[in-house]
Amino acid sequence: MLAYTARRLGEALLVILGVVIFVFVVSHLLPANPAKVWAGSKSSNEQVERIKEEYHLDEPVHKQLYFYLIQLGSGDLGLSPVTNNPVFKDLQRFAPATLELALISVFLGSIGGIYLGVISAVHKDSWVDQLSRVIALAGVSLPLFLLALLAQLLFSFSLNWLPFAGRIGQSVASPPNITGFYLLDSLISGQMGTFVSVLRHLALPSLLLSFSSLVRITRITRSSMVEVLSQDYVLTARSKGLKERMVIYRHALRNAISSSISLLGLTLVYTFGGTVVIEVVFGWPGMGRYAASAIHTLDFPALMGFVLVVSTVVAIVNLIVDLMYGVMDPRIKYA
Amino acid sequence: MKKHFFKTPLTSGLGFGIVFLFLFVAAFGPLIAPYGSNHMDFDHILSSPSLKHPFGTDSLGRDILSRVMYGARIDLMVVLIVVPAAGFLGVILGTVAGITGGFIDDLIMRITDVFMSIPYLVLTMSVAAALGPSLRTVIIAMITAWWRGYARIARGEAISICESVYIEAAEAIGASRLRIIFRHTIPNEVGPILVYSTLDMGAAILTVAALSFLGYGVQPPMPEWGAMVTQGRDYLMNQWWLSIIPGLAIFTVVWGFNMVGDKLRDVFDPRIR
Repeated sequence: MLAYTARRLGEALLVILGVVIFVFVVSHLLPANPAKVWAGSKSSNEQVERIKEEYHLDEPVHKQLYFYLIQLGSGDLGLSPVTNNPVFKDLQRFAPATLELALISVFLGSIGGIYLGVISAVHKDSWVDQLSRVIALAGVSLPLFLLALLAQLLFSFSLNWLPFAGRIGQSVASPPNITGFYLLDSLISGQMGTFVSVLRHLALPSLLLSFSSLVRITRITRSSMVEVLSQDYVLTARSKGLKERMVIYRHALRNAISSSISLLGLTLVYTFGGTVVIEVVFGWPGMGRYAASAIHTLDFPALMGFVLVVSTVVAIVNLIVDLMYGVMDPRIKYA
Repeated sequence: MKKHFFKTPLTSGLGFGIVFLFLFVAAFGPLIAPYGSNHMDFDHILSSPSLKHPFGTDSLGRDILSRVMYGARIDLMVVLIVVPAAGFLGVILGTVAGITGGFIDDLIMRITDVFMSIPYLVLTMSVAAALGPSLRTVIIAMITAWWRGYARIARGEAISICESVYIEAAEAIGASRLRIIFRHTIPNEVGPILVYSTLDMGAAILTVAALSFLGYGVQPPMPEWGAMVTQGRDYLMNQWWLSIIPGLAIFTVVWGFNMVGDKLRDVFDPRIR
């Protein structure tokens, strides 16, 4: 088990390194002149030259990559030429907002998806199953940005039920920085007013973001449950006179769930992609919006920081998922 | 019969109908659109849907229906280039990995893993930003990101095909590796790849539109659907048709592709029917 974990950890590090190298090379092969953009439109030639030198922009790409990896090796993500802050500091400020949004969305999508998948499989070909299939198809067909605009229009502007932008009400004090997750921090510090405000701000973006993972997980859970429910041991469990709930959740779901869990890493990748759109529409002060504006201003140190955080979180989740297989399915042994 | 109401033939027929309609509009848009994509009617600025302009007009008096029809050309053209090109690349890489095994398999699959851990949108945005926003950039950026899913499926299929007797027979009569890949393996991967690529068309259209919505894709005044949704955002409260109509066009065509893909999956994988 230990050797397996070490090997998987090594593979995960290699993948993260691969992501960093790929995005670095692609983003630095540009015909545009980032130094000019970073220095601003009123900058002098000396300022542009100084920036070029500071960021090694005159060097060939492989040398720039070498300097970046050396810097990364010493734990330094570099300085954003646009915000003039260390990228690490910027990410420290923006990452918790995105992680809070993404993790809640994946959680909601997984719970809802597994439940709907089970219901669809148990009532296979009934109206419930067909309805969930039609909703799923429509769900994956809706552009997230359109859904977000419509939800904003309905719930924020017309009905005035939920705030249309931001992470917390303007008149509400931010909770103390314990975990960086506002929901958790306000709960720990007992600030119920703040908690309610944060929850109201999270509701629309997280529900919308969870929709695509809900659809994916419903589909995969349904198809593996349909397969498992036709197995002999399910028949045996039923013929023993076990309650149907017990048969479905203890016997069938436990064997069907590994395919849904294996999708978690990929679901998280899709969700991080979605956060860019959701954060832009909802003015959410997170990494997705930070990355979107970094790409606009050719702020590559910031973009690289975002990519590094996303690929690291995805690698960690994939590792946890791999190790969880053994717990969920005792037949899997790690050699 | 009632039980299968949602499955066949209604939804799949509807799906095929929608896809054909949009392909027809994309092919003949300029001939059937009532106005040019950038024709400005200053007497009808921001006018609501009417007989003259069935989907209303935008802030420059341009007919939304005509722009949506021209837009079909752009969005469908992009995905009809991206999906086959990325699919071809992915299938070749995945099949080579599956058949060769060993170091080459490991290398190709680790590269696929790298691509799998970056969100599509971020990857395409980075490439688009580096090359500067344009239609050509969107196509290049999307092909760069899009091959990975095909490589995975093709590898899985290639490994199971490799174990079949006919591959053993081909090897026994001395067929070359290249012949085994192109003549015996890839043709047998067509079913699952076809299903995946039909479902993928929808995802690709959504990404093209999202890229333009965020400002990295096709630039105004080209009538791309995602860009049209962005342009209408400021008018959402009172002139909803500016954003909602192009948004509905995206939804309808993606839904159509997904219904067709879903039907094809039923045909090719009866286990999950």
